[in-house]
Amino acid sequence: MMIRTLSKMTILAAVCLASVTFVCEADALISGHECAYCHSVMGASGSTLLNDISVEVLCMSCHVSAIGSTAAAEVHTNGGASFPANRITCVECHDPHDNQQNVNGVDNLNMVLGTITVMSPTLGDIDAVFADKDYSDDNSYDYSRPGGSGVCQVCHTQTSRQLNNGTASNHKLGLTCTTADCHPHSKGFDN
Amino acid sequence: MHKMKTRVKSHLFLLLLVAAVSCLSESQAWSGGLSWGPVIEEPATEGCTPEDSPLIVQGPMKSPMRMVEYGDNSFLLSDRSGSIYEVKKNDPAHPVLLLRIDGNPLGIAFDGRNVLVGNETSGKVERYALRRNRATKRSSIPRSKSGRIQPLDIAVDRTKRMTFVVDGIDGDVKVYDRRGRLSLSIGGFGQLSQPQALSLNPDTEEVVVTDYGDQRIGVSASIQIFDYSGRHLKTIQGAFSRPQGVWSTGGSIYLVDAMLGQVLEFERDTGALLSTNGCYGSSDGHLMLPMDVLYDPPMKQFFVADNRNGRVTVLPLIEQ
Repeated sequence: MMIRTLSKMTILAAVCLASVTFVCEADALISGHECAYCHSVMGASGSTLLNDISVEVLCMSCHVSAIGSTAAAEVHTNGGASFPANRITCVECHDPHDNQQNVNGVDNLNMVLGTITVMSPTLGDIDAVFADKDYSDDNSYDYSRPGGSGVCQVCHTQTSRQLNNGTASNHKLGLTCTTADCHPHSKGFDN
Repeated sequence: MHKMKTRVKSHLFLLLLVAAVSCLSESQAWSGGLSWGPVIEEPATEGCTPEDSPLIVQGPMKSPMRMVEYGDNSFLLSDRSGSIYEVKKNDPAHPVLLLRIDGNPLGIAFDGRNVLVGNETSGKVERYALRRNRATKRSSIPRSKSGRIQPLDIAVDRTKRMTFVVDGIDGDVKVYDRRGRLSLSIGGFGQLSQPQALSLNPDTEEVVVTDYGDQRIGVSASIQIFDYSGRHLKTIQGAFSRPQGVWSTGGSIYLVDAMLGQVLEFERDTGALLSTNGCYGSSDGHLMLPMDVLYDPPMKQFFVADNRNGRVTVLPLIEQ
């Protein structure tokens, strides 16, 4: 009788452990992004089992105070009078699950999408390339690319620099655009 | 033999069914989250209406972060976009720009004479003296040029002249003496995982720290209480997942949860949830990514740094 009870308890424990352990192996995840940070299997109301109805708030609940120091982020807005108002939030440029392959067949860095849908101005899907952040090795990087597919260029049609047709992209070429003194992500790329 | 097999199969089926149901209900109820993490409640939006009529302070803030008392009638607020504001409690609609910071301010404190600003860009706590509407930068912590911290929150015990800093890089609370020398690290050795904010209780010499935990290793979000010597006193866990700013009095601990959009009140001794205030959202009186809370006992109201809405919201305490 005792052995039977024990075996039942063992099976019960095994099933419980398996359901908890393997539920999170759906996809390769960027280091530090655990499933339960954003998703809830039980009780989430959203269609993607998100714990929050606002993806931006979900992302910013960690990134606004930049856990780990290097991941500080703020959304990209434009409140200036010269340009149409916009608000480019996290998932318009990033896939929170993994790095995406770009049009060249190479994985983009920093979870940047391979195709960015540009809504303001209405340009539709634009190939975005962000696989190289180092200018020193070959005198090129993907903040700015000759054809305009660099990650900083894809949306820009009215800025004075880094346009998405590849022109006006010699502005401080070689310097990292998002460096703290210039256009850091932590300030929404403003300066 | 066939009957025997059928019975075994049906028993196994029932067993699995019971196991699955039990797992589901367990998952719902786990708040300690040994391996799955805490149950994260959905933000309250449907039918959630703010009690009374909270005052909305639509200031010039872009990304309000932390707050600290500044005299009896004011508080200071750090804005991640590079500003420090002074906000009058009786006129919160007109925050005054006090300081421009070269970098991204996070934590903020006031030691009675100087304003301490945690600058994420420089990796220092910068000390500013305010005289005749002019701010002069006097010193920095850590003092060495190469030393960098991520000063997520700061608190000062003015009597003992101790400065407590939540460091996001090392994941601890660093304690500095009156000369800015590191005297103690609290919460190392796994006691803290990803600390966010802190509050001091000088009467009892306690440090109250909010911690996101680390779900990679099954550590849930929590409030951790230490004494000034770094001795761990208490852990409080509950239905919160992104605890940010915290305010402690003798018997109560108030914290804001960045995801829930609520101010939660806990009893210090029992860890019991006493009240919840606020709703998630962007309309009047709702909170979206609240980062800090400051309780005003005489008026029984909260000032909340409402980050995504770019404002300070004043909420009345609803005792439950």
